[in-house]
Parts: sequence; structure tokens; C-alpha cells
Amino acid sequence: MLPSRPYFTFMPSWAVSVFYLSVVAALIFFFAKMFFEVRRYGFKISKLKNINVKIKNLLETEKLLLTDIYGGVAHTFVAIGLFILFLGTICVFIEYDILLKFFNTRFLTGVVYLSYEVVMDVAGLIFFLGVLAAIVRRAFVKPSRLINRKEDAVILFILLYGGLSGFIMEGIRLAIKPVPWGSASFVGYILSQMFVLTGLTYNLGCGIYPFLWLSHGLTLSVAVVAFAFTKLKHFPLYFLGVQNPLEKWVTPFNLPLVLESKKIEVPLGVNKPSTLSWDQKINAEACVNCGRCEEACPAYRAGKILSPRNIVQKISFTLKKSLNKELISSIINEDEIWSCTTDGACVKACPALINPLDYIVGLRRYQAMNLGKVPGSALFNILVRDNPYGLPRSERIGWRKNLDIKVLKEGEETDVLYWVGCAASYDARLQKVAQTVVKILRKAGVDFAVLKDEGCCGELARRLGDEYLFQEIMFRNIEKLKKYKFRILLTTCPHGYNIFKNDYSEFNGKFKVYSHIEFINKLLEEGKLEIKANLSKKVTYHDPCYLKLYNNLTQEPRKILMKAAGLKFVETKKFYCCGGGGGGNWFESKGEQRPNILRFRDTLEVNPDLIAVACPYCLSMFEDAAKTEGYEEKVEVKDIAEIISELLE
Amino acid sequence: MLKIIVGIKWVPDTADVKFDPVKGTIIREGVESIINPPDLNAIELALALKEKYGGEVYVISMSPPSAIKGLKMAVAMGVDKAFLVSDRKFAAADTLATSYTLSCAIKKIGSYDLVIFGEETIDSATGHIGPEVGEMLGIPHLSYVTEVQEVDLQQRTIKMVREVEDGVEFFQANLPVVISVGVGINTPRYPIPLRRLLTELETNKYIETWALNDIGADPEKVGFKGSPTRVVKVIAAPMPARRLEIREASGETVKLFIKRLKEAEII
Repeated sequence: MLPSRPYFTFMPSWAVSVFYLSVVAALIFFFAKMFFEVRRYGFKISKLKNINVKIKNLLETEKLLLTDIYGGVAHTFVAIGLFILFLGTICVFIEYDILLKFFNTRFLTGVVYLSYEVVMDVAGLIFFLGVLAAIVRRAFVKPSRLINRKEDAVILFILLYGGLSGFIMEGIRLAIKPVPWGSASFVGYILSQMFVLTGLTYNLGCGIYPFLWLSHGLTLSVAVVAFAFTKLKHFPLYFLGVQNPLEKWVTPFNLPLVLESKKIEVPLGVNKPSTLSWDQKINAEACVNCGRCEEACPAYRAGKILSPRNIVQKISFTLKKSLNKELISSIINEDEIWSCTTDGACVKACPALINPLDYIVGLRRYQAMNLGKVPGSALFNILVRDNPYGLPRSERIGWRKNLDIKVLKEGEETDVLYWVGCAASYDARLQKVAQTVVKILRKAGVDFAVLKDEGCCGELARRLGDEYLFQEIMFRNIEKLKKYKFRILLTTCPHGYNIFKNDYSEFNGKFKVYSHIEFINKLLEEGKLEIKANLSKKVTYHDPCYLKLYNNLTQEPRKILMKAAGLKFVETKKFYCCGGGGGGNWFESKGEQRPNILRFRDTLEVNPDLIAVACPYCLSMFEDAAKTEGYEEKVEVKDIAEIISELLE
Repeated sequence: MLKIIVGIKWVPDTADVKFDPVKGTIIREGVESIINPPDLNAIELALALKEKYGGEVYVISMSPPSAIKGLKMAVAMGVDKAFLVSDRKFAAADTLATSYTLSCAIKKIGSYDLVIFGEETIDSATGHIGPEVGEMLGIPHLSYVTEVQEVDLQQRTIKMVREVEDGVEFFQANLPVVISVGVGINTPRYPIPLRRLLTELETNKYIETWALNDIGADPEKVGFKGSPTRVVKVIAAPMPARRLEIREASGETVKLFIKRLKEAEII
């Protein structure tokens, strides 16, 4: 006898009808809910793009999940198991409801059927283990970022029951009506042997089986509905949403067009759920509250009121109730949005492709653009004196007095145009970094120059939500830079680096931008610079967010430090922002602790003599922390350029 | 409902102004202009009073057309309307001619309860304008006000505070009144970016320009003609550079610090 899949063994026909009805109802519920929900959020099928990329990204996403081994493995097991079981169900549907009914043929027979049974049991087992692991994690391990809600318990129960009932059913079937190829369904087979041993009678088996079968079938229907109504909808929504990448900020207007048309759409930014873009709405709905963003957030870590998870959850919650509810003050506290350092760790941590920073920036933009609410005086200073310090414009060139640096004249040419940035121009400590960069460039024989009228790059304005000021500054700078001939735009500030590279380029201001770290590494690799002495100190490196997270620039600084320090270069175990970005350098937000102190303590874990940084804000933040913590004499903080410069002689 | 007029001046950022010792003149080329800093405090006070009592805030400035940039900023801060009082005949005015011109413009606006000026400008530092305008309008005036405690719109009175070196003075006056305020009495608000942009798009809606004829001023009393003051000579008085840097705090350094302060006759 050829092995083949049995259908509806021991099943009364009414139960089969109930099952079919429930499946149809579940599908209707699922599609109707999804349809109305995404339509409410302004999604149109024409907006469905890059589904191939999405499918490819699924693997990346699972890889990201696996950075937390326990939770990641549990999720992967459940997801893969469920997916294969789903495919199995589709096979059954095709065979029984289409092929057998309409064509009187079948394919789940013989070796195909036996393989099918093996695969299904493996998938079921993986699925079941994943669900068990998840239950143990939520009930006993309880990682701090997981918040247990009723929904989580219900979903895990449904999944657990689905898996368990499937196997028991199989076991009973094989126990009371054995087939020669029964061992292919190895889990069911083992169970059947146990049932036989415990003395399961045919009549009892026949009595239990239909109820078990029906409940298993109904679990399937309930699960289908759960994919539209519970957090499980993160899966279908994953394919509908579009993630706004961290480094490319979406602008609400283009200034030259606004000035030309004399029209601007208001309000600017986000105040109510209705002002979110369709993908922001869908993405918020896809949040499963896993808390990975929260765990990566430097502000949350320092006990500040902000948690990116809460921002997304609050938006998602409000979205469901009303599209016209004011978000700031009653739902989201103003301090939450101003605690953000815009480091983007939350964006990189989210497996569901949500960009929590995108909401925060939207909320900031509304507060800043429409209400003029921005903390601190840095933006006012930029507006009045073109630098966040509020120092006189004429003092900008103070750092290069007596250095005799070529100042570019209009029409003149230079290979490298050095954009110094406000921090290295005005701050006494940071001026030394700029002066050191000049020294290095001279040592390497680089043809470089500076601008006579460099100004603010606008980065801070953009991060704080004043898009108008940012665009004013940016278009002014683009126009200015286009008057000069240069090949490379060199920056010492990663904030400037990033704004030129990722933001200006969106507005037709494309320049070949180099971070000083990138450039020094290039000079070393080309042999234009040579390290002649070895660093005798134990050194660790703190990545600036705007190099690491926004631009994935992590190898160059390490190459330099390896060359300089060899084995004396040690990596800090964790990564967090120093707290200086997104305005953090310019005003203090409320919190139990300060991000820079915590970050400084991270680096102390490897007992360095020297902390290497590559960003003026990081340098200030770390020096401040070293002073506060009483380490001023024990640990030095230096820019990589300063470290290298000493080793070139 | 309070109707408040704030007088502002568009001045070169004196931090960037250098003195040419050879020519004996100040170098203003390439120096950006800003709203005279205490004038920002005057605007802030006016806007805060408007928020408290309701009403309108107008800004006036007697300046060349370039000052429109400053007026836009004032509007962006929340001022309802700005008037640029500008005419070539106003050029080279001293404080008397300026006060006269401004009082004509204020009369043209008509009814008002409060006129606020910054106590002095960073480029000439006379502190004349407030009192002179008050006299020309024939209404009470008070300089160096640090706080407006209360405005009684029924009784039409205003209660003000002035902090002086050896105490605090309390004043009450009948409206309308002219006051002048200093830097530091409040923190000027950030100009609302959207409003700044809208002012840029529809400048005429927010800013009106008045020439000599518009304000009905006597041509003999404005500008150079109306100015009895003459600048005879400008000399730079060099300030001795004193610099003390103490980088650690201990009993010794505090003693050293006190010693140095005594040596410098500061204490």
C-alpha cells in the first residue's frame, strides 16, 4: 500500500464544516482588518515597493534578532517552524481541496508524503521548542526590556496549544490506527508508543480525537485573526511599511521651492497622528514592544524620561484610538523628545524596521517650527552670530592666527578644503585638534586651504527641528562652496561630515566629503604619513555615533590605532553615545545620570591610559566626565589626530 | 487689551567692530548687524505682557531699509506688526532728532498703552531715547525697569520695579507710559521659524515702511538738520588686558586668587 495522507480520520462531517467555516471567517476577518487599517493610514497598493528587498531583508532581520541569543533563537524557531507548518497546510489545501476534488489526483503520496511528514514533524518540533523557550523567557528569565502584557500570554498560549494539539492528535491517530510508515512522523510516533503503553483504547482515542482535531483547527483560525489584531501583525506590516533609513532624514519642504511658490503646507512636523506619514503610521503599528531600542538608548540608560520604545508604543496606541489627538504634553512629554541625542542606536536595533528617531524628529520639528519651542540658546546664537556658542563672528578665525594657512579666494583651487566647524574654531581645547590636523596635513604635504568666511553647517538646527534655519544655512553654504574649486571637503567634526555627506547631498549639494580619520588613514596607507614611534599607552576608542551608526565608518580609526598602539589598543565592550549629539552638548535634559559619565565608565572597564575619540563633542563630553569622576590625572582624552601627530616624529 | 509699541535699533554687532587707529574711525565693513540686545528684552517683555493681558505688540525702528531683517526677526518672535521708519532725510540723526522722529511715528500709530525701549544701544550707549520720547509724547517715562509687576486695565495704571545698586524701587504710573529695560531682565524667546518664513514670504503683510511724509514730521527737526550734536573726534581707549587662569581648586589656589584680586584692586 502506497503511503498517503489520510484526511479527516474519525471526523464527523459537522466538525469538518465548522472548521471550514471558521477558516473562511478568519480569513475574512484578517483581510478586512488589514484592509481597513492600512487604508485608514493612507496606504495604497501603489506604495508597495521593493517587496523583493523586504524578503531579502528578512534574513538580515533574523540576524539582528540573534544578537540577543536567547530571544533571537526563540523567535527564529517559532518563525521558521510556523512558516514551514504554514507551507504544509497550503500543500494539504492544494491536494485535498483542489487536486482531489477537481482533478481526482494527489501528490502527497509515497516518498514525497514520507518526506513531508518528516519535515512537518521537524518544523513542529522547532516551533514547539521556540514557543516553550519564549514562555520560559517571559515567565522566568524576564529580561528587563520585556514587559509582559495579557496579549503576550494569549498569543503564546495559542501557539503552544496549536503545536501541542497537533502532535497529540498525530500520536493518538498513530496509536489507534497504526500505519507501517508511521515512524516518519517521528514525534507523533514516539507519542503514539507512549499512548499505547499507557493503555489508550480505540474507543477513547476515537472519542477524544475529533475534539482535539477541531480545537486544533480552530486554533489555526484564531491565529490567522491574531495576525491582524495582535502584535503578530508586525509580520504582515513588515512587508507593507518602508523604513526611513537613519542617515537620510525626510524633509517636510524644500526652501527654494517654498520661496518661489510663496506657499508652505502647515503644520510642519508631527503633532497629531494624522500628521504622520503613512509609513510612519504602519511602522508604529508594527512595533511588538520588544524594547531593543530602549536597551540601546543612551538617554534611557541614563535614567532620562525618554524611551524610544515608549514613543513608538504611545504613538501606536494613540493611532488606534484617534488620528486627531495632540501627542505632545498629554501623551508624550516635551522632555522626552528633547532628551534624544539623535545617535540612532534605536533605529539600528529595531528588527521591525521602525525608525523611532523619525517620530522624535517629527515631534521636535513641530515644536520648533510652529511654536518656536527649542531648548537652550544655541539656535538663537546660530541665528544671530552663525555659531552655537554665540561668540563674535570675527573670533571664528582665532584658531588659525599665526598658522599662516592658505585662505581660499574665489576661483582659486585647492586639493583639500578643510571645513573646520564651529567647535574646533571656537572652543579653546578643540582648537588644538584643528591645529593638529593642520600639522598633519602639512607633514603629509597635502595641498589644503580654509574658507575666509566659513560658518555654521546647520547640523544642530536640523537635529533640533528648525528645518528652516537648517535649509537657509545649507543653501547658503552650498552656494558658497560651489564658488571654490576643490576635490575633497575635509571635516574634523562627524556632525559636519554627516550633514555634508547625507543631508546636503539630498539638496543637490554633492561634495566628496572625508572625515579627518578617514583622511589620515588614507595618508597612512598611501605612505604619505609614517608612524615612527609606538604609543606606549593602553588606548581604547569611543566611536562617534555620526561615524559609526550613520556612516558605518568604524574600520579606519581602528586601523590607525592598531598601527599606532598594536596590542595596546583594546576595545571597549559596549557601545553607547556619549550624550553630546542632537543638542546634548548644548543643553542638559533632566535625568538621574548623565550619558557621558556612564559612557566614560564603560571605557574605564578596560583600564585605558588614553581614550581616543574622533569627534569634538565626544572629546568635550569625555573630558568633562573624566573631571567629574576624578580621573583627570589618570586618563587622557585625545582626538585620534592628536595621538597620531605625536608619533610622526 | 494692551497696545504695546517697542522701539528697536538694528545695530552692527559691536563685538566684531574694530577700530582703525590710523584713521580714527571704526571699521564697519563686513560686520553683520543684529537687533540691539536689550531691545530683544523689550520685545520679550511686550510679548509676555500681551500673553498675560491680551492685546497687540507693534515694533518701530528708525533705520535704513537694511533693518528690515531685524524687523522680520521681531515679527517672528510674535510681534503683530512692524513699522520701518525710513527716509534718507533721517540720516545722521542724533538722539534728539531720532526721538522726535520716533515720537511722530508713535503718534501715527495712534492709541497705545505702553512704549518700551532697550535701555541703551550697544553702538552709542546714550540711554536717551526712552526719556526723550516720553517727554515728546508728554507722558510719564521710567528707565532701567527690571520688572512690570501688574497692569490694571480698569484703573489704567502700571506697577513697575527698578533694581538699583542699593535697593529696589517700586513705581506706579498712569498709562500710557514709556519705559526702558536692560539686558537680563528676561530671556528673549526664539523667533518662531514658521513665522520667520511667513514674514519672508509675505513681508508686506507684516512690515510697513513709513517715510518722512507718512509720519507728518517736520523736515527741519529730523536727521542731520535736526541734530544739535556733532561727533568731533573718535578715539580708542585701550583696555589693559588682564588674564588670570586658575585651573584647580584647593585652599592654596583660593588664597592665591584672593591675593591676585587684591593686587588688581578689584576687592
